[in-house]
Amino acid sequence: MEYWMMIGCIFGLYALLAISLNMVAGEMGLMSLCHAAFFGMGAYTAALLVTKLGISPWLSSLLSPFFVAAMAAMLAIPLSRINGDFFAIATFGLALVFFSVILHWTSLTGGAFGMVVDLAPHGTGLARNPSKILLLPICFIVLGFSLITRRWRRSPLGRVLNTIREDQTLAGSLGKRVGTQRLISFTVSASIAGLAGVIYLWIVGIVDPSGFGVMDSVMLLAMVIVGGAGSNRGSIAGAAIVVIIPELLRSVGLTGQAAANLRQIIFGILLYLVLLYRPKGLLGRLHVGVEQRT
Amino acid sequence: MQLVFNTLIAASAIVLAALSFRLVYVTARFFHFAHALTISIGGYAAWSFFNYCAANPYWAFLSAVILTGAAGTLSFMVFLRPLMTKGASPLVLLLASLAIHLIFQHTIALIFGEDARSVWSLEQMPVYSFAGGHLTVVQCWLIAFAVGVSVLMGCSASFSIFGKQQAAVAEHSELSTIFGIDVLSVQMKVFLIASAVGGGLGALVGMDLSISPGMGFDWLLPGVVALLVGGIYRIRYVVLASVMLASVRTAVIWYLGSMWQDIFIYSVLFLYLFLRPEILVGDEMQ
Repeated sequence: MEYWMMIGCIFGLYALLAISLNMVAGEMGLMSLCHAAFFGMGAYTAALLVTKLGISPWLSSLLSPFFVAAMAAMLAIPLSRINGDFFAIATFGLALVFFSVILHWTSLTGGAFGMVVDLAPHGTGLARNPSKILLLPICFIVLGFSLITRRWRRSPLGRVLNTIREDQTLAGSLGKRVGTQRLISFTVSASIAGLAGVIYLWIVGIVDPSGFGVMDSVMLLAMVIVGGAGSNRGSIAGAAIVVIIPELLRSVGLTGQAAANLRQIIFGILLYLVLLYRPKGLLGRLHVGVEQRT
Repeated sequence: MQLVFNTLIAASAIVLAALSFRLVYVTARFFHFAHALTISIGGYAAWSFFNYCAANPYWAFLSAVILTGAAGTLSFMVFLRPLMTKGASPLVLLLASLAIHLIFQHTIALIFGEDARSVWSLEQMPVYSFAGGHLTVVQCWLIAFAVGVSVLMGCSASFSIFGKQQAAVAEHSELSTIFGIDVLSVQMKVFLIASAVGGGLGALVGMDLSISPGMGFDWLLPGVVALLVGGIYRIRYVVLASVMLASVRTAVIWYLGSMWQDIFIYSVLFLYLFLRPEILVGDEMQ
Protein backbone atom coordinates (compact mmCIF):
# COMPACT_ATOMS: atom_id res chain seq x y z
CA MET A 1 0.00 0.00 0.00
CA GLU A 2 2.82 2.33 0.95
CA TYR A 3 4.42 1.65 -2.43
CA TRP A 4 1.29 2.67 -4.33
CA MET A 5 0.99 5.80 -2.20
CA MET A 6 4.52 6.71 -3.23
CA ILE A 7 3.57 6.11 -6.88
CA GLY A 8 0.54 8.37 -6.31
CA CYS A 9 2.81 11.12 -4.93
CA ILE A 10 5.20 10.82 -7.90
CA PHE A 11 2.24 10.96 -10.28
CA GLY A 12 0.97 14.11 -8.55
CA LEU A 13 4.41 15.65 -8.82
CA TYR A 14 4.68 14.97 -12.55
CA ALA A 15 1.12 16.19 -13.08
CA LEU A 16 2.00 19.48 -11.34
CA LEU A 17 5.13 19.84 -13.48
CA ALA A 18 3.20 19.09 -16.66
CA ILE A 19 0.42 21.56 -15.78
CA SER A 20 3.00 24.28 -15.11
CA LEU A 21 4.96 23.58 -18.31
CA ASN A 22 1.71 23.59 -20.26
CA MET A 23 1.33 27.28 -19.36
CA VAL A 24 4.43 28.04 -21.43
CA ALA A 25 4.66 25.23 -23.99
CA GLY A 26 0.93 24.73 -24.51
CA GLU A 27 -0.67 28.12 -24.03
CA MET A 28 2.15 30.25 -25.45
CA GLY A 29 3.70 27.69 -27.82
CA LEU A 30 7.19 28.33 -26.41
CA MET A 31 9.18 25.11 -26.23
CA SER A 32 10.89 25.63 -22.90
CA LEU A 33 13.63 23.07 -22.33
CA CYS A 34 14.68 24.28 -18.88
CA HIS A 35 11.67 23.28 -16.82
CA ALA A 36 13.53 20.50 -15.01
CA ALA A 37 16.06 23.18 -14.04
CA PHE A 38 13.33 25.22 -12.28
CA PHE A 39 12.11 22.01 -10.65
CA GLY A 40 15.64 21.35 -9.40
CA MET A 41 16.12 24.97 -8.39
CA GLY A 42 13.10 24.71 -6.07
CA ALA A 43 14.40 21.53 -4.47
CA TYR A 44 17.97 22.78 -4.09
CA THR A 45 16.90 26.19 -2.74
CA ALA A 46 14.75 24.58 -0.02
CA ALA A 47 17.56 22.14 0.82
CA LEU A 48 20.19 24.89 0.99
CA LEU A 49 18.01 27.19 3.10
CA VAL A 50 17.56 24.39 5.63
CA THR A 51 21.07 22.96 5.67
CA LYS A 52 23.25 26.03 5.12
CA LEU A 53 21.20 28.84 6.69
CA GLY A 54 19.32 26.83 9.29
CA ILE A 55 15.93 28.22 8.24
CA SER A 56 12.90 26.17 9.29
CA PRO A 57 11.58 23.63 6.72
CA TRP A 58 8.19 25.37 6.55
CA LEU A 59 9.68 28.79 5.83
CA SER A 60 12.22 27.44 3.34
CA SER A 61 9.42 25.58 1.54
CA LEU A 62 7.49 28.83 1.28
CA LEU A 63 10.48 30.91 0.17
CA SER A 64 11.81 28.52 -2.49
CA PRO A 65 9.07 29.02 -5.12
CA PHE A 66 9.47 32.80 -4.74
CA PHE A 67 13.21 32.51 -5.26
CA VAL A 68 12.61 30.40 -8.39
CA ALA A 69 10.08 32.98 -9.60
CA ALA A 70 12.64 35.77 -9.12
CA MET A 71 15.28 33.82 -11.06
CA ALA A 72 12.80 32.99 -13.82
CA ALA A 73 11.75 36.65 -14.10
CA MET A 74 15.39 37.69 -14.54
CA LEU A 75 15.93 35.05 -17.20
CA ALA A 76 12.66 35.89 -18.93
CA ILE A 77 13.96 39.36 -19.86
CA PRO A 78 16.56 38.22 -22.43
CA LEU A 79 14.33 35.27 -23.37
CA SER A 80 11.39 37.58 -24.14
CA ARG A 81 13.24 38.80 -27.25
CA ILE A 82 13.36 35.41 -28.95
CA ASN A 83 10.86 32.87 -30.25
CA GLY A 84 10.53 29.46 -31.81
CA ASP A 85 13.55 27.24 -32.12
CA PHE A 86 15.90 29.96 -30.82
CA PHE A 87 13.90 30.00 -27.57
CA ALA A 88 14.30 26.22 -27.35
CA ILE A 89 18.07 26.49 -27.89
CA ALA A 90 18.45 29.26 -25.30
CA THR A 91 16.45 27.38 -22.65
CA PHE A 92 18.39 24.22 -23.50
CA GLY A 93 21.58 26.14 -22.73
CA LEU A 94 20.09 27.38 -19.45
CA ALA A 95 19.26 23.84 -18.42
CA LEU A 96 22.83 22.76 -19.15
CA VAL A 97 24.25 25.63 -17.09
CA PHE A 98 22.02 24.78 -14.12
CA PHE A 99 22.97 21.10 -14.32
CA SER A 100 26.65 22.01 -14.55
CA VAL A 101 26.39 24.24 -11.47
CA ILE A 102 24.65 21.66 -9.24
CA LEU A 103 26.98 18.91 -10.42
CA HIS A 104 30.25 20.78 -10.03
CA TRP A 105 29.74 23.25 -7.18
CA THR A 106 30.44 20.44 -4.74
CA SER A 107 31.02 22.61 -1.66
CA LEU A 108 27.52 24.06 -1.96
CA THR A 109 25.39 21.31 -3.51
CA GLY A 110 27.21 18.12 -2.59
CA GLY A 111 27.95 17.45 -6.27
CA ALA A 112 26.87 14.12 -7.74
CA PHE A 113 26.11 12.71 -4.28
CA GLY A 114 23.67 15.51 -3.48
CA MET A 115 22.38 16.42 -0.05
CA VAL A 116 20.28 14.55 2.49
CA VAL A 117 17.77 16.95 4.01
CA ASP A 118 15.50 16.21 6.92
CA LEU A 119 12.51 18.45 6.28
CA ALA A 120 10.09 16.52 8.44
CA PRO A 121 9.20 18.30 11.69
CA HIS A 122 9.40 15.98 14.69
CA GLY A 123 6.17 14.32 15.79
CA THR A 124 4.41 14.49 12.41
CA GLY A 125 5.38 11.00 11.30
CA LEU A 126 6.54 12.47 8.01
CA ALA A 127 10.04 11.09 8.33
CA ARG A 128 8.75 7.51 8.62
CA ASN A 129 6.10 7.53 5.96
CA PRO A 130 6.09 10.71 3.85
CA SER A 131 3.90 9.39 1.03
CA LYS A 132 1.04 8.47 3.39
CA ILE A 133 0.87 11.98 4.79
CA LEU A 134 1.71 13.92 1.62
CA LEU A 135 -0.54 12.11 -0.87
CA LEU A 136 -3.70 14.00 0.03
CA PRO A 137 -2.07 17.48 0.15
CA ILE A 138 -0.41 16.77 -3.21
CA CYS A 139 -3.80 15.80 -4.69
CA PHE A 140 -5.27 19.07 -3.42
CA ILE A 141 -2.34 21.09 -4.79
CA VAL A 142 -2.65 19.45 -8.24
CA LEU A 143 -6.41 19.95 -8.25
CA GLY A 144 -6.00 23.55 -7.06
CA PHE A 145 -3.45 24.48 -9.71
CA SER A 146 -5.47 22.62 -12.33
CA LEU A 147 -8.49 24.80 -11.52
CA ILE A 148 -6.41 27.98 -11.30
CA THR A 149 -4.73 27.40 -14.66
CA ARG A 150 -8.10 26.52 -16.21
CA ARG A 151 -9.49 29.79 -14.90
CA TRP A 152 -6.32 31.58 -16.08
CA ARG A 153 -6.82 30.18 -19.59
CA ARG A 154 -10.30 31.71 -19.76
CA SER A 155 -9.19 35.03 -18.29
CA PRO A 156 -8.21 38.02 -20.46
CA LEU A 157 -4.54 37.19 -19.81
CA GLY A 158 -5.06 33.60 -20.99
CA ARG A 159 -6.72 34.80 -24.17
CA VAL A 160 -3.83 37.21 -24.77
CA LEU A 161 -1.35 34.35 -24.35
CA ASN A 162 -3.22 32.31 -26.94
CA THR A 163 -3.20 35.31 -29.28
CA ILE A 164 0.55 35.72 -28.73
CA ARG A 165 0.94 32.05 -29.55
CA GLU A 166 -0.78 32.51 -32.90
CA ASP A 167 0.38 35.99 -33.85
CA GLN A 168 2.58 38.27 -31.76
CA THR A 169 2.22 41.19 -34.15
CA LEU A 170 -1.55 41.04 -33.89
CA ALA A 171 -1.38 40.89 -30.09
CA GLY A 172 0.97 43.89 -30.06
CA SER A 173 -1.23 45.84 -32.47
CA LEU A 174 -4.18 45.30 -30.12
CA GLY A 175 -2.24 47.14 -27.43
CA LYS A 176 -1.26 44.01 -25.52
CA ARG A 177 2.12 44.11 -23.83
CA VAL A 178 3.52 40.93 -25.30
CA GLY A 179 6.82 40.94 -23.38
CA THR A 180 5.14 41.52 -20.00
CA GLN A 181 2.51 38.82 -20.57
CA ARG A 182 5.22 36.36 -21.57
CA LEU A 183 7.27 37.28 -18.51
CA ILE A 184 4.31 36.78 -16.16
CA SER A 185 3.39 33.42 -17.61
CA PHE A 186 6.99 32.16 -17.69
CA THR A 187 7.57 33.28 -14.09
CA VAL A 188 4.37 31.75 -12.72
CA SER A 189 5.07 28.51 -14.58
CA ALA A 190 8.63 28.38 -13.18
CA SER A 191 7.45 29.08 -9.62
CA ILE A 192 4.97 26.16 -9.80
CA ALA A 193 7.86 23.96 -10.99
CA GLY A 194 9.84 25.29 -8.01
CA LEU A 195 6.97 24.29 -5.71
CA ALA A 196 7.04 20.82 -7.28
CA GLY A 197 10.76 20.73 -6.43
CA VAL A 198 9.98 21.51 -2.79
CA ILE A 199 7.35 18.75 -2.69
CA TYR A 200 9.88 16.37 -4.24
CA LEU A 201 12.27 17.17 -1.42
CA TRP A 202 9.54 16.55 1.17
CA ILE A 203 8.82 13.14 -0.40
CA VAL A 204 12.34 11.77 -0.95
CA GLY A 205 14.40 13.77 1.56
CA ILE A 206 17.43 13.81 -0.73
CA VAL A 207 18.35 16.06 -3.62
CA ASP A 208 20.95 15.20 -6.26
CA PRO A 209 21.50 16.22 -9.91
CA SER A 210 19.83 13.14 -11.44
CA GLY A 211 16.32 14.11 -12.41
CA PHE A 212 17.16 17.75 -13.17
CA GLY A 213 19.15 17.26 -16.38
CA VAL A 214 18.50 18.46 -19.89
CA MET A 215 16.94 15.22 -21.05
CA ASP A 216 14.55 15.37 -18.09
CA SER A 217 13.37 18.73 -19.42
CA VAL A 218 12.90 17.12 -22.82
CA MET A 219 10.87 14.37 -21.20
CA LEU A 220 8.67 16.88 -19.37
CA LEU A 221 8.01 18.61 -22.67
CA ALA A 222 7.27 15.25 -24.28
CA MET A 223 4.79 14.60 -21.45
CA VAL A 224 2.87 17.79 -22.28
CA ILE A 225 2.90 17.15 -26.02
CA VAL A 226 1.98 13.45 -25.81
CA GLY A 227 -0.82 14.20 -23.34
CA GLY A 228 -2.00 17.17 -25.37
CA ALA A 229 -0.96 20.82 -25.42
CA GLY A 230 -3.23 23.48 -23.97
CA SER A 231 -5.19 21.13 -21.76
CA ASN A 232 -4.79 20.17 -18.10
CA ARG A 233 -6.39 16.80 -18.77
CA GLY A 234 -3.73 16.22 -21.41
CA SER A 235 -0.92 17.19 -19.03
CA ILE A 236 -2.26 14.84 -16.37
CA ALA A 237 -2.58 12.06 -18.97
CA GLY A 238 1.06 12.65 -19.98
CA ALA A 239 2.11 12.42 -16.34
CA ALA A 240 0.12 9.20 -15.93
CA ILE A 241 1.97 7.65 -18.89
CA VAL A 242 5.33 8.61 -17.34
CA VAL A 243 4.34 6.86 -14.12
CA ILE A 244 2.75 3.83 -15.77
CA ILE A 245 5.69 2.96 -18.08
CA PRO A 246 8.19 2.09 -15.29
CA GLU A 247 5.50 0.03 -13.54
CA LEU A 248 4.84 -1.93 -16.77
CA LEU A 249 8.58 -2.45 -17.20
CA ARG A 250 8.83 -3.59 -13.58
CA SER A 251 6.06 -6.11 -14.21
CA VAL A 252 8.21 -7.71 -16.92
CA GLY A 253 11.23 -7.77 -14.63
CA LEU A 254 13.05 -4.68 -15.92
CA THR A 255 14.35 -2.33 -13.24
CA GLY A 256 17.25 0.05 -12.63
CA GLN A 257 19.21 1.76 -15.37
CA ALA A 258 17.85 -0.46 -18.15
CA ALA A 259 14.29 0.45 -17.19
CA ALA A 260 15.20 4.15 -17.02
CA ASN A 261 16.69 3.98 -20.53
CA LEU A 262 13.69 2.04 -21.86
CA ARG A 263 11.29 4.59 -20.38
CA GLN A 264 13.08 7.38 -22.26
CA ILE A 265 13.07 5.31 -25.47
CA ILE A 266 9.33 4.62 -25.16
CA PHE A 267 8.65 8.27 -24.50
CA GLY A 268 10.76 9.27 -27.49
CA ILE A 269 8.76 6.90 -29.70
CA LEU A 270 5.46 8.20 -28.31
CA LEU A 271 6.55 11.79 -28.87
CA TYR A 272 7.51 11.06 -32.46
CA LEU A 273 4.27 9.19 -33.19
CA VAL A 274 2.19 12.00 -31.71
CA LEU A 275 4.02 14.58 -33.84
CA LEU A 276 3.51 12.46 -36.95
CA TYR A 277 -0.08 11.31 -36.50
CA ARG A 278 -1.74 13.41 -33.80
CA PRO A 279 -0.26 16.91 -33.38
CA LYS A 280 -2.88 17.76 -30.74
CA GLY A 281 -1.70 14.92 -28.48
CA LEU A 282 -4.01 12.45 -26.76
CA LEU A 283 -6.36 14.96 -25.11
CA GLY A 284 -5.02 18.25 -26.40
CA ARG A 285 -6.73 21.45 -27.41
CA LEU A 286 -3.96 23.07 -29.44
CA HIS A 287 -1.61 21.95 -32.21
CA VAL A 288 2.05 21.85 -31.20
CA GLY A 289 4.66 23.72 -33.16
CA VAL A 290 2.52 26.48 -34.57
CA GLU A 291 4.73 28.87 -36.51
CA GLN A 292 4.47 32.21 -34.76
CA ARG A 293 4.14 35.36 -36.76
CA THR A 294 6.47 37.86 -35.14
CA MET B 1 52.52 26.76 -26.59
CA GLN B 2 50.49 23.86 -25.21
CA LEU B 3 47.65 26.30 -24.50
CA VAL B 4 47.70 27.41 -28.13
CA PHE B 5 47.55 23.78 -29.22
CA ASN B 6 44.70 23.06 -26.81
CA THR B 7 42.79 26.06 -28.19
CA LEU B 8 43.42 24.85 -31.73
CA ILE B 9 42.15 21.34 -30.92
CA ALA B 10 39.00 22.63 -29.21
CA ALA B 11 38.40 25.13 -32.05
CA SER B 12 38.70 22.29 -34.59
CA ALA B 13 36.11 20.19 -32.76
CA ILE B 14 33.74 23.15 -32.33
CA VAL B 15 34.08 24.23 -35.96
CA LEU B 16 33.33 20.69 -37.19
CA ALA B 17 30.23 20.51 -35.00
CA ALA B 18 29.13 23.99 -36.06
CA LEU B 19 29.63 23.54 -39.79
CA SER B 20 28.02 20.11 -39.98
CA PHE B 21 25.03 21.35 -37.94
CA ARG B 22 24.88 24.46 -40.13
CA LEU B 23 24.69 22.38 -43.29
CA VAL B 24 21.46 20.76 -42.09
CA TYR B 25 20.07 24.03 -40.75
CA VAL B 26 20.53 26.08 -43.92
CA THR B 27 18.93 23.41 -46.08
CA ALA B 28 16.18 21.99 -43.89
CA ARG B 29 15.64 25.16 -41.81
CA PHE B 30 15.26 23.55 -38.39
CA PHE B 31 17.50 22.90 -35.39
CA HIS B 32 18.43 19.27 -35.78
CA PHE B 33 19.29 18.39 -32.17
CA ALA B 34 19.66 14.73 -33.11
CA HIS B 35 22.76 15.76 -35.05
CA ALA B 36 24.49 15.26 -31.67
CA LEU B 37 23.83 11.56 -32.16
CA THR B 38 26.07 11.43 -35.21
CA ILE B 39 28.98 12.44 -32.95
CA SER B 40 28.11 9.68 -30.45
CA ILE B 41 27.54 7.11 -33.21
CA GLY B 42 30.86 8.07 -34.82
CA GLY B 43 32.65 7.54 -31.50
CA TYR B 44 31.00 4.18 -30.80
CA ALA B 45 31.45 3.02 -34.41
CA ALA B 46 35.19 3.78 -34.22
CA TRP B 47 35.38 1.98 -30.87
CA SER B 48 33.56 -1.07 -32.27
CA PHE B 49 35.68 -1.27 -35.44
CA PHE B 50 38.83 -0.77 -33.39
CA ASN B 51 38.01 -3.37 -30.77
CA TYR B 52 35.82 -5.97 -32.47
CA CYS B 53 37.16 -5.86 -36.04
CA ALA B 54 40.78 -5.12 -35.02
CA ALA B 55 40.81 -2.31 -37.58
CA ASN B 56 43.75 0.10 -37.46
CA PRO B 57 42.84 3.67 -36.38
CA TYR B 58 42.76 4.98 -39.98
CA TRP B 59 40.24 2.33 -41.05
CA ALA B 60 38.27 2.71 -37.83
CA PHE B 61 37.97 6.45 -38.56
CA LEU B 62 36.99 5.93 -42.21
CA SER B 63 34.49 3.19 -41.37
CA ALA B 64 32.94 5.38 -38.66
CA VAL B 65 32.57 8.27 -41.13
CA ILE B 66 30.86 6.04 -43.73
CA LEU B 67 28.61 4.29 -41.22
CA THR B 68 27.51 7.55 -39.58
CA GLY B 69 26.85 9.17 -42.94
CA ALA B 70 24.61 6.25 -43.86
CA ALA B 71 22.86 6.31 -40.46
CA GLY B 72 22.20 10.05 -40.75
CA THR B 73 20.72 9.69 -44.22
CA LEU B 74 18.58 6.77 -43.10
CA SER B 75 17.27 8.70 -40.08
CA PHE B 76 16.34 11.57 -42.39
CA MET B 77 14.45 9.25 -44.75
CA VAL B 78 12.68 7.27 -42.02
CA PHE B 79 11.92 9.91 -39.39
CA LEU B 80 12.14 13.43 -40.77
CA ARG B 81 11.05 13.13 -44.39
CA PRO B 82 7.52 11.91 -43.52
CA LEU B 83 7.05 14.97 -41.30
CA MET B 84 8.49 17.31 -43.94
CA THR B 85 6.13 15.97 -46.59
CA LYS B 86 3.25 16.68 -44.21
CA GLY B 87 4.42 20.30 -44.06
CA ALA B 88 5.60 20.23 -40.44
CA SER B 89 6.80 23.54 -38.99
CA PRO B 90 10.46 23.97 -37.91
CA LEU B 91 9.33 23.65 -34.28
CA VAL B 92 7.68 20.28 -34.94
CA LEU B 93 10.82 19.11 -36.74
CA LEU B 94 12.90 20.29 -33.78
CA LEU B 95 10.67 18.29 -31.42
CA ALA B 96 10.89 15.26 -33.70
CA SER B 97 14.64 15.65 -33.70
CA LEU B 98 14.59 15.68 -29.88
CA ALA B 99 12.45 12.52 -29.96
CA ILE B 100 14.99 10.83 -32.27
CA HIS B 101 17.73 11.88 -29.90
CA LEU B 102 15.82 10.54 -26.90
CA ILE B 103 15.28 7.19 -28.64
CA PHE B 104 18.79 6.59 -29.94
CA GLN B 105 20.91 8.07 -27.17
CA HIS B 106 19.21 5.73 -24.71
CA THR B 107 19.47 2.83 -27.17
CA ILE B 108 23.24 3.41 -27.28
CA ALA B 109 23.25 3.54 -23.47
CA LEU B 110 21.29 0.27 -23.34
CA ILE B 111 23.69 -1.50 -25.72
CA PHE B 112 27.05 -0.11 -24.59
CA GLY B 113 26.29 1.08 -21.04
CA GLU B 114 26.54 4.57 -19.57
CA ASP B 115 30.23 4.49 -18.70
CA ALA B 116 32.83 6.48 -20.59
CA ARG B 117 35.41 4.36 -22.41
CA SER B 118 38.51 5.12 -24.45
CA VAL B 119 38.92 4.05 -28.06
CA TRP B 120 42.68 4.22 -28.39
CA SER B 121 44.94 4.22 -25.35
CA LEU B 122 47.28 7.18 -25.05
CA GLU B 123 50.32 4.91 -24.58
CA GLN B 124 49.94 3.49 -28.10
CA MET B 125 49.39 6.85 -29.75
CA PRO B 126 52.27 8.61 -31.56
CA VAL B 127 52.97 12.05 -30.07
CA TYR B 128 54.69 14.93 -31.91
CA SER B 129 56.43 17.84 -30.22
CA PHE B 130 56.49 21.36 -31.69
CA ALA B 131 58.00 24.42 -30.02
CA GLY B 132 57.58 23.05 -26.52
CA GLY B 133 54.01 21.80 -27.03
CA HIS B 134 52.77 18.29 -27.73
CA LEU B 135 50.18 17.00 -30.17
CA THR B 136 49.02 13.42 -30.58
CA VAL B 137 48.51 12.03 -34.06
CA VAL B 138 44.74 12.06 -33.54
CA GLN B 139 44.83 15.74 -32.61
CA CYS B 140 46.77 16.44 -35.82
CA TRP B 141 44.06 14.57 -37.78
CA LEU B 142 41.37 16.56 -36.01
CA ILE B 143 42.96 19.89 -36.93
CA ALA B 144 43.57 18.76 -40.53
CA PHE B 145 40.00 17.43 -40.80
CA ALA B 146 38.57 20.72 -39.50
CA VAL B 147 40.69 22.82 -41.89
CA GLY B 148 39.74 20.56 -44.81
CA VAL B 149 36.01 20.61 -44.01
CA SER B 150 35.99 24.42 -43.49
CA VAL B 151 37.74 25.09 -46.81
CA LEU B 152 35.57 22.60 -48.71
CA MET B 153 32.32 23.87 -47.21
CA GLY B 154 33.32 27.49 -47.79
CA CYS B 155 34.21 26.81 -51.44
CA SER B 156 31.15 24.59 -51.95
CA ALA B 157 28.75 27.22 -50.58
CA SER B 158 30.19 29.95 -52.80
CA PHE B 159 31.29 28.28 -56.01
CA SER B 160 29.75 24.83 -56.51
CA ILE B 161 26.46 23.92 -58.15
CA PHE B 162 25.61 21.83 -55.08
CA GLY B 163 26.03 24.90 -52.87
CA LYS B 164 23.66 26.88 -55.09
CA GLN B 165 21.17 24.01 -55.13
CA GLN B 166 21.31 23.92 -51.35
CA ALA B 167 20.57 27.63 -51.12
CA ALA B 168 17.72 27.26 -53.60
CA VAL B 169 16.14 24.35 -51.70
CA ALA B 170 16.46 26.28 -48.43
CA GLU B 171 14.88 29.37 -49.96
CA HIS B 172 11.94 27.71 -51.70
CA SER B 173 11.75 23.96 -52.14
CA GLU B 174 8.66 23.98 -54.40
CA LEU B 175 10.19 26.55 -56.75
CA SER B 176 13.40 24.51 -56.77
CA THR B 177 11.42 21.47 -57.92
CA ILE B 178 9.80 23.52 -60.69
CA PHE B 179 13.25 24.60 -61.87
CA GLY B 180 14.37 20.97 -62.06
CA ILE B 181 16.31 20.57 -58.81
CA ASP B 182 15.89 17.16 -57.22
CA VAL B 183 15.05 18.41 -53.72
CA LEU B 184 15.11 14.96 -52.11
CA SER B 185 18.52 14.21 -53.56
CA VAL B 186 19.92 17.54 -52.29
CA GLN B 187 18.47 16.95 -48.82
CA MET B 188 19.82 13.40 -48.71
CA LYS B 189 23.29 14.57 -49.76
CA VAL B 190 23.19 17.26 -47.09
CA PHE B 191 22.28 14.78 -44.36
CA LEU B 192 24.91 12.34 -45.67
CA ILE B 193 27.70 14.93 -45.62
CA ALA B 194 26.67 16.53 -42.30
CA SER B 195 26.33 13.15 -40.57
CA ALA B 196 29.64 11.92 -42.00
CA VAL B 197 31.41 15.05 -40.70
CA GLY B 198 29.68 14.60 -37.31
CA GLY B 199 30.71 10.94 -37.29
CA GLY B 200 34.30 11.88 -38.14
CA LEU B 201 34.33 14.35 -35.27
CA GLY B 202 32.94 11.70 -32.91
CA ALA B 203 35.53 9.15 -34.00
CA LEU B 204 38.42 11.58 -33.55
CA VAL B 205 37.20 12.95 -30.22
CA GLY B 206 36.60 9.36 -29.09
CA MET B 207 40.16 8.39 -30.03
CA ASP B 208 41.60 11.50 -28.41
CA LEU B 209 39.52 11.57 -25.21
CA SER B 210 36.74 9.07 -24.52
CA ILE B 211 33.27 8.08 -25.66
CA SER B 212 29.98 8.09 -23.76
CA PRO B 213 26.32 8.06 -24.91
CA GLY B 214 25.87 11.77 -24.15
CA MET B 215 29.15 12.94 -25.72
CA GLY B 216 27.39 14.42 -28.75
CA PHE B 217 25.90 17.35 -26.89
CA ASP B 218 29.26 18.17 -25.27
CA TRP B 219 30.52 19.19 -28.71
CA LEU B 220 27.35 20.06 -30.58
CA LEU B 221 26.15 22.77 -28.22
CA PRO B 222 29.38 24.82 -28.30
CA GLY B 223 29.12 24.40 -32.06
CA VAL B 224 25.58 25.77 -32.05
CA VAL B 225 26.71 28.72 -29.90
CA ALA B 226 29.55 29.41 -32.37
CA LEU B 227 27.05 29.24 -35.21
CA LEU B 228 24.68 31.71 -33.56
CA VAL B 229 27.48 34.07 -32.53
CA GLY B 230 29.24 33.92 -35.88
CA GLY B 231 26.10 34.15 -37.99
CA ILE B 232 24.49 31.17 -39.61
CA TYR B 233 25.19 32.13 -43.22
CA ARG B 234 28.79 33.29 -42.84
CA ILE B 235 31.19 30.37 -42.70
CA ARG B 236 34.35 32.36 -42.04
CA TYR B 237 32.74 34.13 -39.07
CA VAL B 238 31.56 30.77 -37.73
CA VAL B 239 35.21 29.63 -37.83
CA LEU B 240 36.26 32.83 -36.05
CA ALA B 241 33.53 32.41 -33.43
CA SER B 242 34.67 28.80 -32.89
CA VAL B 243 38.24 29.99 -32.28
CA MET B 244 36.92 32.65 -29.87
CA LEU B 245 34.82 30.10 -27.96
CA ALA B 246 37.72 27.67 -27.86
CA SER B 247 39.93 30.43 -26.42
CA VAL B 248 37.33 31.16 -23.73
CA ARG B 249 37.05 27.44 -23.02
CA THR B 250 40.83 26.95 -22.74
CA ALA B 251 41.19 30.00 -20.48
CA VAL B 252 38.37 28.80 -18.22
CA ILE B 253 39.85 25.29 -18.01
CA TRP B 254 43.28 26.74 -17.28
CA TYR B 255 42.16 29.15 -14.55
CA LEU B 256 39.04 27.54 -13.05
CA GLY B 257 38.95 23.89 -14.12
CA SER B 258 37.14 21.96 -16.84
CA MET B 259 33.85 21.73 -14.94
CA TRP B 260 33.04 25.42 -15.47
CA GLN B 261 33.56 25.55 -19.25
CA ASP B 262 29.86 25.04 -20.14
CA ILE B 263 28.80 27.96 -17.98
CA PHE B 264 31.16 30.38 -19.71
CA ILE B 265 30.28 29.13 -23.17
CA TYR B 266 26.55 29.66 -22.52
CA SER B 267 27.28 33.02 -20.93
CA VAL B 268 28.61 34.06 -24.33
CA LEU B 269 25.31 32.97 -25.89
CA PHE B 270 23.23 34.86 -23.32
CA LEU B 271 25.37 37.94 -23.70
CA TYR B 272 24.61 37.84 -27.41
CA LEU B 273 20.91 37.20 -26.79
CA PHE B 274 20.77 40.15 -24.47
CA LEU B 275 22.90 42.59 -26.46
CA ARG B 276 22.24 41.62 -30.07
CA PRO B 277 19.07 39.56 -30.44
CA GLU B 278 18.74 40.80 -34.02
CA ILE B 279 21.67 38.60 -35.08
CA LEU B 280 19.47 35.61 -34.43
CA VAL B 281 16.40 36.76 -36.25
CA GLY B 282 17.71 39.32 -38.69
CA ASP B 283 20.57 37.38 -40.20
CA GLU B 284 20.07 37.69 -43.94
CA MET B 285 20.68 34.68 -46.08
CA GLN B 286 23.52 35.38 -48.49
